[in-house]
Amino acid sequence: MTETRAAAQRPAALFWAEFAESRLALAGLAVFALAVFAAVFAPWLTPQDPYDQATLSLLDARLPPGTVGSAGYVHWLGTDAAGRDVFSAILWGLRTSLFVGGAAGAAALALGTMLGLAAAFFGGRVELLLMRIVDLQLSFPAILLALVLVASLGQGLAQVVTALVAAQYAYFARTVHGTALAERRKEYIEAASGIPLKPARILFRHLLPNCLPPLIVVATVQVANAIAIEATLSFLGVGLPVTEPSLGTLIANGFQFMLSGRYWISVYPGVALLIVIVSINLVGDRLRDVLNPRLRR
Amino acid sequence: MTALLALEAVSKRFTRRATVEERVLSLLGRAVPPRTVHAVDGVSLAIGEGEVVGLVGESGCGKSTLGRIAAGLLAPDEGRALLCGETVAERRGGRVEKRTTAVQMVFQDPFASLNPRMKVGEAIAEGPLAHKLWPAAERAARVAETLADVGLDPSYAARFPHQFSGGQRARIGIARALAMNPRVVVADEAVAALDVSIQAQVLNTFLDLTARRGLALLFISHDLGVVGHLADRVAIMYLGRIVELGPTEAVFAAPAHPYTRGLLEAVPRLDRRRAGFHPVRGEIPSPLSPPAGCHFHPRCPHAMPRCRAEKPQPRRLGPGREVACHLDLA
Repeated sequence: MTETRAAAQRPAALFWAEFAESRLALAGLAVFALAVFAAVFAPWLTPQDPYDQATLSLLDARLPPGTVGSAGYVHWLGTDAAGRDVFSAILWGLRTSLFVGGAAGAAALALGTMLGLAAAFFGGRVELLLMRIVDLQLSFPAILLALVLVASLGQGLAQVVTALVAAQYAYFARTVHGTALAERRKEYIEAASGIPLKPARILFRHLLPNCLPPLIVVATVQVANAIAIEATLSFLGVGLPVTEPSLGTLIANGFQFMLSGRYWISVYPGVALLIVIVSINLVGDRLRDVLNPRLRR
Repeated sequence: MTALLALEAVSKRFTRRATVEERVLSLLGRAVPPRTVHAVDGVSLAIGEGEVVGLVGESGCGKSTLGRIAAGLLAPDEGRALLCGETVAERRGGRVEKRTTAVQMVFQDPFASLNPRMKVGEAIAEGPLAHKLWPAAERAARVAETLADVGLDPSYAARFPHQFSGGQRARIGIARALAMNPRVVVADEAVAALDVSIQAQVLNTFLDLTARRGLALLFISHDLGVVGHLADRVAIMYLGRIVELGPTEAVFAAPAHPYTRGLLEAVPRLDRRRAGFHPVRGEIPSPLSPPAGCHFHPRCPHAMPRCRAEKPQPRRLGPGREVACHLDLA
């Protein structure tokens, strides 16, 4: 009886219960939620708008963490060379980083899924062409591709997102293609085409939903990767301009002061970046474990 | 009796892609193993309005392929599958496009044939709504009615397939096919995956429903005993060809093909409990390289030299009775 009752629960509830069995993953999810919250409400949580040049005072430049600045509040994480509060800058930078990561991840997910599904469903030349392009692209490191693209597209938020999507869609396409190839041969797809239903309907209502579990895992990891790649691009000076800094820009911003002992300008944004990426990866790892069909009964 | 569904000399071949090794060998001019399976080889079969036809054969004899051609899931390489004179399925740009909803299929595996991420009600209503057989407003009522017909509680519509037992899933598969209001149902080993005790229940529900609606049924099975109980006519298939065809009683009373005889002797019966067990000797040959002449000759107790050379053509024995054998056993 207990078995039937458990089976009668909604799949979502079952899924959550299984996910929550790992404390580490729960902690990761909590930290990530906190980061999203802090990023969204940055304007209300920070004592200063770090990009409003008028509010900055050079007198406050390079203050160590915990110093009270000229505006009368404590700079818990210190200030940078322009007298910017590092804590405020981190929250604003997090805003940009998460937005870029999320937008690039979502767009790459949509594009890669469409291409992978189409390749698996239509087969033949379509499949050959699409998947060879994907293979070719996957043989280059994503960062190299993104670097080349940003270098040719120019700086700016839209350009960085475009470069990230172009560099990352291939991972989604390959994942979906592999799963869809296996799912396509199953009898329920045959049953759907025997009704008969239109190919588009079979593709989106039958094939796609059954390809989702591995996609969710890849999406989580790729959002973290997008954030990391964007930070790298910005650190190298080809990503986001100083007027729209992300965590990567902030790290680059303080890098020249590292050796003079003013570590905080670079290190704290770096720690923030690390925490966000680790928390997303913890969630992603747990999702992979829970969604792995071989571990399910 | 006019044929509702007619298979006219249909053939279906499956070709495996050459491996790298085989391509190298053939480039070198060496002999390569055959890569083509003649799953169905020039089979003609007609099913009349409301008729139950049993299609029996060992696994690998092509009965599932023939069923898929009849149901429009595959297009034949040669010959035609016609429903009321119209082609059931056409090949279009490498894909098979089914042209009719009047023939539906019930699948063997009640687990694999239902989309695990689609609620049962949705799975049943999807086809009829897509083809505008049901007004959208009547959806819930029609789903409930269909579920009740197959002996399931209407409240099950909101559940997912994994919440059901094998027997219940088989009923859902039947409901999905019958919701399309077909005139012919192809049942491919529809109950073979179930426990024997459940098989009978599900089978009875299924047969009641098809009989009450006057549906024609192509019942594919490896079990001659089950087919004997429910089919009006029976077709025996061996390695892609139909070897014997006729009214069930006639075939059971006087089997004219040695293969049919072998199969009938293998059916367990209470009154023959002590009789010796003589199943058909040997294994079914590889369909990649079927024997020449009559496909059955390597296993046939009556094989003659002629059987090894000449393919036996179907021969009329009586009304609606045909046999493809050089012998005159009947």
